[in-house]
Amino acid sequence: MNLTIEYHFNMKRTIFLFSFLSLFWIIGCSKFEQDFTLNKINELTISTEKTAFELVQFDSLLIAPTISESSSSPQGYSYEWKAIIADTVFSFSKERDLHMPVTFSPGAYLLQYIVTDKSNGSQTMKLYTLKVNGAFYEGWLVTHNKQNKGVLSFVRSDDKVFLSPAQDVNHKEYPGKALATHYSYLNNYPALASLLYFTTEGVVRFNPNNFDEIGNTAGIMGKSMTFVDPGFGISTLASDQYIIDNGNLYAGFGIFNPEEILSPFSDRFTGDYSLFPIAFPATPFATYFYDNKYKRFMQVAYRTRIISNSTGNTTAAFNMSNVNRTMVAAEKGGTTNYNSNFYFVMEGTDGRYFMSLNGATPKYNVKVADTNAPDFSRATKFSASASNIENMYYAYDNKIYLYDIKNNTATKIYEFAVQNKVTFLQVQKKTSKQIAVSTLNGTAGELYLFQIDDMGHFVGNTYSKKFEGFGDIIHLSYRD
Amino acid sequence: MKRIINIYWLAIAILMGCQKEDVSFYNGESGISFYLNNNEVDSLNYSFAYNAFEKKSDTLFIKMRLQGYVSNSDRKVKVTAADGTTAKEGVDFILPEAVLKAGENTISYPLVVNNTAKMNEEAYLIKLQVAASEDLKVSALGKEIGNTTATDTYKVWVSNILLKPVYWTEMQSYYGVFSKTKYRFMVQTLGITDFSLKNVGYYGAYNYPLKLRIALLEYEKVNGELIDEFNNRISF
Repeated sequence: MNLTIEYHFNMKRTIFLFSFLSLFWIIGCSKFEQDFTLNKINELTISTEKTAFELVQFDSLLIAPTISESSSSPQGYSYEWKAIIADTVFSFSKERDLHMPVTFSPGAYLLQYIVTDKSNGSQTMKLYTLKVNGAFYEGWLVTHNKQNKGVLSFVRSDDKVFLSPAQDVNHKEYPGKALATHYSYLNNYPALASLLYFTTEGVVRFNPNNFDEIGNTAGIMGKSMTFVDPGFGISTLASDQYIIDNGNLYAGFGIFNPEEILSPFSDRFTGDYSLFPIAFPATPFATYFYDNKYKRFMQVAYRTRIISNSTGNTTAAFNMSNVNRTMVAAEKGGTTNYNSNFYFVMEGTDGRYFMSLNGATPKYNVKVADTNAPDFSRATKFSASASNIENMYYAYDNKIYLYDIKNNTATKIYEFAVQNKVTFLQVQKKTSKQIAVSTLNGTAGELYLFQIDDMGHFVGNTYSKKFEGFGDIIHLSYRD
Repeated sequence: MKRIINIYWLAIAILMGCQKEDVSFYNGESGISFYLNNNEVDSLNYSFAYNAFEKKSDTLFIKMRLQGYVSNSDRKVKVTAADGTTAKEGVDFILPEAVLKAGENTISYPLVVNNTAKMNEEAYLIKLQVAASEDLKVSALGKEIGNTTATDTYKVWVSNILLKPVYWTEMQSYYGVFSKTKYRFMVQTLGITDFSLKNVGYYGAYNYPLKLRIALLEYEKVNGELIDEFNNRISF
């Protein structure tokens, strides 16, 4: 009996297993019907006249791509524009064509245009580059006094004039007689760049892209103070900023401590000195200054707050520790042997001298006679080219002269009408192909731009542009 | 059949294993102790010399924590000076009465220390000991939640001795060689006692020495050179 039950149980199991395996065999061997029909999808081509754009903030951007399709899309297309900057991506339009004022902050962007075929979801893309410049991206900062009020104007490189952008943007007046405006830009930190506008009442810091006020005297100098003849400089490594005023030296932080770049400047460096208001970043690790009290060069090591006498060498072109002359003017020139040249006009007891440093090495030390360089002894305005041609411009009364440094001679290259007195001149150091000259005709200030040829002369022997409407222009500087 | 019965018993066992177990709660007296966070030590060094201005006394706060339930009423906390204490209670230090407030489970015990004359020469030890009060006993000691430690003793060294701060080596290039005279001048000029880079930042590290040079020049105009305990002229 037991054997019979066991036989029936085993038989059933065998039949079950056999059926199960047979089922799998049948399925595995059956023919799989495949469809090899090829249907081409719609392919799109996006084309535009150009793919790189550069605009001023708030100007309109128009991109109208031409879209070609290989076949029509039954459901049409959708569009999307995206902007990519650094690690940020954002969508800003769903229109086919782009036509909108660019409100992006100044910077370089990648634009991605995506066309999606709604029938099948396939996407076609095209990339563009967009550079957005601030409204004040490049141009001349014109510091002047009009009707007894200090004014900061801006002449953009495309000739657009903003008479008082700081006042207009901030809806306020800035008291005091205007003295100078300096552009502070430290390597690789454009977001921390600023304009420093000095008046007799203090100093104001503006955002150079939009003239927003971002600092005042107390925040910049750590205390309230007035100014007399402010100068500004940055060390070679951009490790330090310097403000010189009324002979006193103050230091601020640079790129080694970017979090402190906009922090207040230091107290006055201790010491018995009265500095000419220009810094000479002669070497990577030291910035030089000239002490008009004791007629000597002094220096500050990078990232320190101590000023000390420079070492002199009696066999050099001149003894830096004992110059014995008064500095009248100074300018940075070009580069020789990888070192920057600094040019000085010095007043000695026996007349004027042209002197220079190449890096920290004295180079030129020549007496300049009016017979060789007319009006040199009376000139009050100087500006040097930053090109490899060693020359310098100076002005006296209504005349501009070109001084050939190597040959110690000068020629008159331009003369204004007799009533137009030159008040300032400044070579645009970015290219040394342009010089800005301001004049005062009674109370009317005018700005002239001259283009400079390869020999340093004015192209066409005249100015290329003229701007009017200013007061007494006291300082010119370039923001690039 | 046998198999079916075995399956039945297995099911019963599984069901019994899933029965919810009651959680038991602490049911005892409340206690209190000092407590330390992870990596904290059970001692503190305090010097009157590090204050910007001279202090006759000061209050140091020592952390204590409850074991047990919070209460609806205030409860007294008792701390005594244990054997080994070299400072004199009532003269060099005071152990005030303290209260664990209703609804609270921690207290900062206010140890009062006095700047007595002998503190200029030597550091004195106050060995604090948690004692049972009428409301709270000494709690269980050792490791607790959050990697903290309950302890019934805590040592406080108190003096008026000025020692070279640990950070000075790092800051010597900014401030120069340490001396007590220099340090006191810095404290009086700048009104701070911690001149570490962490506290003053690079702004202070670069600009404070200049401020100190300016202050020193003013001082020397009136008082002459400032000489330290090593007979060196102070400079920055």
